[in-house]
Amino acid sequence: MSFDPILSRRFGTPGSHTIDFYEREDRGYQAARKALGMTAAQVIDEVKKSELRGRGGAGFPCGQKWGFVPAPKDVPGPRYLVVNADESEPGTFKDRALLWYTPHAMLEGAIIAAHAIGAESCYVYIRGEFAREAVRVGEAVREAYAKGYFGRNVFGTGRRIEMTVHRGAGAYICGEETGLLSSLEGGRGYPKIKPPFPAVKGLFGQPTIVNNVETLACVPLILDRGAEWFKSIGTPGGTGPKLYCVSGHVERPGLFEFPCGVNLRALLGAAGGVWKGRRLKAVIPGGSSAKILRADETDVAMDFASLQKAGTMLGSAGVIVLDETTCMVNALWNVLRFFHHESCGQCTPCREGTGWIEKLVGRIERGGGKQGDLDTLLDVAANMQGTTVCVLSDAAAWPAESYTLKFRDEFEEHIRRKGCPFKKESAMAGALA
Amino acid sequence: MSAAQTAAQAAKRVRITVDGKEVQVAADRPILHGMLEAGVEVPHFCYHPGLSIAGNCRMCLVKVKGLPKLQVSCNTFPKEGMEVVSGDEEVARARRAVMEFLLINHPLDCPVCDQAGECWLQDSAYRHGRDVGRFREEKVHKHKKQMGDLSDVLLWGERCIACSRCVRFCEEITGTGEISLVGRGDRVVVDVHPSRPLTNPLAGNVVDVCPVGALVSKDFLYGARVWFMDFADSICPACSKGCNIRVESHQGAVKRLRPRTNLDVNGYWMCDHGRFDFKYVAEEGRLDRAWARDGDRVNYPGYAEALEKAARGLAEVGREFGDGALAALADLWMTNEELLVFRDLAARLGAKEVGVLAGPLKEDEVFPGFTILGDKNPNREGARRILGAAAVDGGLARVVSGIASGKVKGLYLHCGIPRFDPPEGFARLLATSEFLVVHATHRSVLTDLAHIGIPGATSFEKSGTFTNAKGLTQRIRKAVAPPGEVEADLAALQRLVAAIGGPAVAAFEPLSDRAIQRRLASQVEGFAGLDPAALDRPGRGPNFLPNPFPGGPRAGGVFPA
Repeated sequence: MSFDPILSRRFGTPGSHTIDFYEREDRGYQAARKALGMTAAQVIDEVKKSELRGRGGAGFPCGQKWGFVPAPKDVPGPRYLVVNADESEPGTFKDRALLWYTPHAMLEGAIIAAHAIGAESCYVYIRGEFAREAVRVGEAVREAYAKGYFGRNVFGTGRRIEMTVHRGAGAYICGEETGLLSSLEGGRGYPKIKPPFPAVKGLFGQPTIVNNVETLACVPLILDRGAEWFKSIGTPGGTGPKLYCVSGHVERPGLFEFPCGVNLRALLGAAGGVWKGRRLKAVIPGGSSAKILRADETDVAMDFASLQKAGTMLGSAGVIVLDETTCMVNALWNVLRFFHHESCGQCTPCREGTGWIEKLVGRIERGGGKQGDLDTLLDVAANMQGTTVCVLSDAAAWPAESYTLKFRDEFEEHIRRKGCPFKKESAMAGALA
Repeated sequence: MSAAQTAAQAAKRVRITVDGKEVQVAADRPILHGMLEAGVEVPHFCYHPGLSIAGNCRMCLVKVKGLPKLQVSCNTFPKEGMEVVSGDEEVARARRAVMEFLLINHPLDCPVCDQAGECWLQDSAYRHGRDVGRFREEKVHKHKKQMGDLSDVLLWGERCIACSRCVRFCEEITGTGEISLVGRGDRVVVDVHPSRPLTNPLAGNVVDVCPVGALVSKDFLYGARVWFMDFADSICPACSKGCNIRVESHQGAVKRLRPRTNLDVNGYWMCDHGRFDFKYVAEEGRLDRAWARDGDRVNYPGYAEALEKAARGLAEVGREFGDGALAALADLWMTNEELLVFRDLAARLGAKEVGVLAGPLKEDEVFPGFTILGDKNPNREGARRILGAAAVDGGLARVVSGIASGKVKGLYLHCGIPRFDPPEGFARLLATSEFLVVHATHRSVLTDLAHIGIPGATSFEKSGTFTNAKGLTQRIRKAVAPPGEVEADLAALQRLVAAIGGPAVAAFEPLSDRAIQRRLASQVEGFAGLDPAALDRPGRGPNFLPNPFPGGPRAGGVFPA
């Protein structure tokens, strides 16, 4: 499959993170200049037309989200743009590369977005563990300030846009947009109860838009080359170029860029196929919260609509590949340990449920499974869905449900045999070594 | 927005239907609030009408027509015509699920938990929970600790359901922010930082707002099972704010005080000065029988005889030394009814000067959501209305100078103020009087000087009214019986008045506080229009407590299907 990368074309090029390189080679900040010459409504309209959907996980149409910010006469006071660079979904490493290689693409997108929503203050909330990236983004912001691309007089237009880099302290939940806002406000990273939604009452109680790094990196392309060009890439279920993070049991794990909606099998082919000549067992298509696909379900387009139809989601496009030697109980236990560890503890079903199903699945894996455990697991997972402030609870329940339903025989075998039938060295822990 | 508009908005009500029945609810409150006010039982833990909305317990789920998922009714605001379903199987199943989650890591140590019997978790489990546990794993273990060096609050971490009520209380009402949620996921628990213990003077309220047994009172710990306790709705005597309280007693002993909701006075709260200031009721030094002193000899003639002796003694001094030889001192802890009879007494004695004894006058303690008043006297305003401002403000000084100048020879003195600290030189001066009657609750330097001593009752042992600093007259009710032969002060004062007038004390039948209230309404300008019946109405505001069986048990058995 031939496709010239767009978002990732500078990945690995020395100096690509500097403003000089970005302006010289990639028409850097031309789109932002153009956007500031347009009205906010025109910018929002263009992004709406591009059908760009958010790259953070939920896939919400970007232009539509910007349009939710109320008019100043309805809600006076400042507006905020927040860049969500708290990428922490297991199996996901696309924003990290964008921040490292092309931080200015994201910053230019932020200027355009800030203009579209009328924000004078922007924040990049960057994952605490991304220490090198935080330094690099900070340097990029200083470069842009020095050139007058941020500050009191952006591009000499008189428009004021300030940019602050804020580092997180290491919590998955702070990638959830309202958890992020709570953390940015200096509070405990608790997601906020909705309504009100951030677009109306977000950071410091003011209208706020939170956009993912990759989403914002797409925005200058749309303004520069036009919504029609952007839409010509990808499928109706997901337009534009898309970064896919392929990890697990493949020959060449890594970051791949394709038009949104590339077939999953083609994507696996690009990653060199399943390693060691083994057979494919399952694929997690969109980060650890996505429902799993069996090998026979992998003939699917990797876009928002198609994966939703297949009963799962594109999520953060963290594609995790599992080969035939993988114990699904152990794999699920691994995922559930993560959610148990990361649940913020605010809502009862998530606080208690994530721990319960983690312990239950761990017990099955260790040989303590009992008749009725799977029914309890499925019932608890069902009870965890749809009743909490944010979707972490659902995100923990989806894998529990899908692994158990799609690989029920394997779970039952564990209970019957009082232990794991797989050799330990071939379990997921080995794949990560 | 003007105050009138704000009031209009607050009073605005909209019609919604709950399970097909039309209900009128406040427009500016979540539907949970409205449903509870209308008597619809909705289980909930984190919602508290006096705190901000957290929406974290997920127990109050309801179905709202037009919305795809179940909604937490504590964060759903009513719209005209909104259709809410609270009583169907889907909602019951969701609540049962939340209830199960809440209990899996809960220690279920109800037999030894102080909260048992008044626990929202217990009551909600009874009505909304499952009858069989499915959790086979190891529970999460958490610590126990005292939340402050001086504070009365103890934490049982494992019982905590992380509803964050106490956290919000310390942020929004006291503004001190000592309590935080610590840890993530099922390790989360409320706690304080070691260098910032919970020491604010409103801290006791966190025990009340805690819906479970996670925060309990050290003072009350293992004090009594709540279902064996007796309750009396009364008014806190510790300051002039007049916080509405419930006096909770067990076998005639006051065990704890807790606030009652009254949005016109104390909201939902009370301060710790008042909350824990009831120990004096049964302290050493409490007077429980009348006495008479003759030189160094003290004898106990019995209550009625002591009153007779007091009346005779005062009358003799009056006759012997003539006009203005008698004075009377009341105190600012006396009820309005007592003060009216005291006024009668002073008139009967022909007292030229009347004054009052007062507890401390300190600075107000102001918090974002509550002010503790500095005037540590519950009835200064009532005394002003009945005895007059002159008596309250300068009466004591005039009585003192009367004694010092030798004009005043005999004195009736009422002191029901716990730990009363007499002014400098006051006791020395009293020792010079010819005849001293002291009517007091506790032994002090003053009672040691008395020729006749009459034991008094504390505000927990009598009925009547206090008028708070804002001028609101509120009813106190007898919660426990006074010790020994003590009779309520109101009756004692009436007997004394009657005895001075002539008839034998034993045959006299004193009027009730109700009867005196009618006299107050007609004889004291400041109490014109006082309606004794209105005093029994509860304070304004919601008072939501879980009710395991509103309207009786559900059909089909104890446990929900």
